[in-house]
Amino acid sequence: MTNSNTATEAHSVSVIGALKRGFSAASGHLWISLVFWGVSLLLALLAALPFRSLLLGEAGNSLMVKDLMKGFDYTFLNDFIQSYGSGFTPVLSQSVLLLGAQYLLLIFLVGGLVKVLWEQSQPEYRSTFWSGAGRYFWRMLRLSVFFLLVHGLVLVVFGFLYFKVVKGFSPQALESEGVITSSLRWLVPLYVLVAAVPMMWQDYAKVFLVKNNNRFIWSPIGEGGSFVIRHFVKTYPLYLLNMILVLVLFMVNYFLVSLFDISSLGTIIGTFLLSQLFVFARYAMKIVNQGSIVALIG
Amino acid sequence: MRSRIFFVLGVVLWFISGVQSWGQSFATPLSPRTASYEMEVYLDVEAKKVNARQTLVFTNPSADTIWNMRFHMYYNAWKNNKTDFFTESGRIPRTKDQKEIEECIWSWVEVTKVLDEQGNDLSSGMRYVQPDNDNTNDDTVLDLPLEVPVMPYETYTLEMDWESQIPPLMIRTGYSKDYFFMVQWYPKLGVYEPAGTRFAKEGQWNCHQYHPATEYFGEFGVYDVKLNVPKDHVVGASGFLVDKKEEEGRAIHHYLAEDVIDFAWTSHPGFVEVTDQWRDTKISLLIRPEHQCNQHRFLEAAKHTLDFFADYLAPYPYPTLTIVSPPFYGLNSGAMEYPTLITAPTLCNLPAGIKTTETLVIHELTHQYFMQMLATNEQEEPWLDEGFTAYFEAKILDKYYPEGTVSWPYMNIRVGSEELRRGRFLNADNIKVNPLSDFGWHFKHGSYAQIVYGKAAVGLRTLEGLVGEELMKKIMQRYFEEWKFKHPSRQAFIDETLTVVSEIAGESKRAEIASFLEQLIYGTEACDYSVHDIINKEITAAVGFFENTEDCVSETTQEGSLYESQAIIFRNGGFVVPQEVKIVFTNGEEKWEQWDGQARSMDWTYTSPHKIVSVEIDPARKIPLDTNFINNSLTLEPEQTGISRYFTAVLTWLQATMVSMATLV
Repeated sequence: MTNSNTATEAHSVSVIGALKRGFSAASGHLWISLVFWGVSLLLALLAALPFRSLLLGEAGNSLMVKDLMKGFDYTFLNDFIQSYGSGFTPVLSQSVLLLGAQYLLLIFLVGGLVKVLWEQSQPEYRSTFWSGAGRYFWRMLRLSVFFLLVHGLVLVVFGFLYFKVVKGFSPQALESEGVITSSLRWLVPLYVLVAAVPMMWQDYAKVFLVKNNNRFIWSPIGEGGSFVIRHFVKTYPLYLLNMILVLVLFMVNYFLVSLFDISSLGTIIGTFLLSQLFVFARYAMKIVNQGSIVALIG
Repeated sequence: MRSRIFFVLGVVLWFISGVQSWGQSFATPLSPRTASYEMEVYLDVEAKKVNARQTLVFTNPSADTIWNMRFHMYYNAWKNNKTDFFTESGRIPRTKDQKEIEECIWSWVEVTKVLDEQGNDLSSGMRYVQPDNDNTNDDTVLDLPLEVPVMPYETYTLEMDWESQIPPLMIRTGYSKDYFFMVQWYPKLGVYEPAGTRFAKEGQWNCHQYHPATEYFGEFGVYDVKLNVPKDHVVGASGFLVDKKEEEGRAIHHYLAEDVIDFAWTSHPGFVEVTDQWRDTKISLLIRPEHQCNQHRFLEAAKHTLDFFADYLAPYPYPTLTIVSPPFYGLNSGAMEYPTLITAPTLCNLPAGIKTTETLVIHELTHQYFMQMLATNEQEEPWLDEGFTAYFEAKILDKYYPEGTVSWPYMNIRVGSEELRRGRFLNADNIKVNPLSDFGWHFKHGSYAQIVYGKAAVGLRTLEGLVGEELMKKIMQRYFEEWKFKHPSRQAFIDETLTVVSEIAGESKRAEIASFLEQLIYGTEACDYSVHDIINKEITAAVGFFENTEDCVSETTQEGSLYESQAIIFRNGGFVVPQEVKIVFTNGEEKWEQWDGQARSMDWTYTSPHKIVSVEIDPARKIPLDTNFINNSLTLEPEQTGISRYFTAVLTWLQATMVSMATLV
């Protein structure tokens, strides 16, 4: 398939059509969402279990622990950190390490995901997934690092812009503090709209990397960028639509969790399961997004 | 005819308005009025200067013959970069920014002429002195030898011309653009302490240099001040407005403040004045339009505070209360307290759940009682105003804002003012670094705020826990009644406390509280008690040889088990406080034990068919000075439900972070 072919294909699929195919890909590969979710749960448990042991070991036999059922307890947390805070240091270090490990694992799994979506392999897609994950890991890693630098650059530019607008937060230089928040009202949406471009560029580059099996990342970066620009009227709305769906998902989760009056072990388990469903759905939305992009490239 | 009618009407209105204004004067002075000032002040907004003429009437409060006077010259704190103000504190810039240095923008106050009531020019004898150290670069105290002494209990009048260069706002006072906040701005007489007053062994001027961490100490008097400022400026000041005249683009605001220890004012064209009333007191809020979103929060908090003290101590006696909410570019004037005038910055973009505006208003307004009416020495005993104020600030906030000083719906975040104050105190780098009794400028390494505000407030709350809320109120009422419009020391508070405790709770309680206050004020030890262990030992039947070595008793069965149960308590800290301990058994039975808290450990042993299941020290949390509430209790079976809530929350947060990271892959 040549670039001109992909352009023709892109014209033949509408934004909604691509999104539908994304949902179809996600529902057809629920197992992949399960893998993503399972990895996150496992790694989070590795950090959260020592935290639980620390709480249980130092404070489990204190009557004050009953107060934790109310939710955030400033006095408990303050006294805990003051008296047993050194125990947090290894837990925090471990959490940071695990987040790093999760980042690498995600890169590994994404290679498999894109391969499965591109090849539309059924029903033996699990072996395709693992072989893709292994084959593309180093290239996906280089690609992710490259786009991490691009995201960083965008963040620095906007940070600098904000710093200039608020005149370095200097009370002497500003007429009023209003600009500190009023500028965020246009700067944050603008940042999201701009930051969305490298994010989707990255998603397209991943597909081109798998599609062409490039040895180096520059070619898929170029092809991805070129495709995004030439079909901007489709690629950009599609990406924004995916972002809005995630936002809606987030709000639904927040609303549902706030309905719970957490006062017993049952309600704790209930909210926890709901949160797990949300995490699972977030990963599924990642497949929807990647699947819709594959559909658009064709 | 019409013009004559208008003239007569005008005169009548002027007379009535004049009578109304002056009618706000106190019929009977509230204070001894030892040092009173008449001032005519000209504010040059272009040159950032003040030119003034002031007449000081001083009444010798002692049987001493006084041959000199001492004045605070606060603005000289910014005369060079080697003053105490610049060199003492690490938290305040040790120098000005480069632009100000290059343009030689320094500030000062200078007396240009001084005459006594006989017309003698005393200027030639003036000299700067350094009573606190040998820093000759510090000119914040002026010594004025007199040609004619002030005779015992006589009054003495001085006329002074002076001018000052106003500092750019760095801390508390100065200007920023068109905003002028004028505090500690004039040559202010120190306090003459006759022998036996506070810690004075002989008659002396109490007039310390201007140290950055400490505040003020002033004599009661009447301030009759005419402020000449640009016509478009809105002015706020201590006391009440007598009249206002306009001439040639300028306006002269005439203020009268009675029975106060200081006079502060502000001048700024951008203020809007919002007024309200509490009983006979007019509340004026000077606020910028962009901050008016919070004006109701200022006024509500002020009225809550006034209501609280009207019930707790005494109604606010002054006819006015002015609240200044500075512009954002005037934030360096901070949140401060001056007689009948306070500052409290606000930001409209802070979430409603953060009660900063209310906290500042309540705190600074409380100072009208602890610093203004009870005119303690803020330099020598800063905890007597800041600690007491922090204690009452928490009480008032928790009473009127039960939702918390910081609240957020997520995880039901609600942090009360009292627990926030305790937490901030315990978070200090070193809670043992200074005793409360130290002079303000002797607090080292950032300890001032945590000890002076934190330890004092938490200590007073602990005192309340030990004596009970009603008795605490009586202590405060007596302290206030005995010492209002005077200069109490810590010994005054200790004496009044012990008298009330002795009268109402007896000598034993008096000894307990005396020991507590001694440790709190003069000690540096921390307070921490913990439940060390619970031991439940089944009592077994007697077996073996007893009477002889031939008849062995080997029957081990007995009807029903009995336990020898023991609760063991440790005192980990050096601070000794009596403790109440609650011991609960398997059948729900409770035992309450009282302990004087003296020994390093204590245990209680019970013989009962029921085991001990939990032990708790100070269940009502009457002793917030205890540094760790978690070890104050122990249960045999761990309570896992609360921990499960935190565990699942942390687990979910980590996963949420991970899934967000997936966006970048």
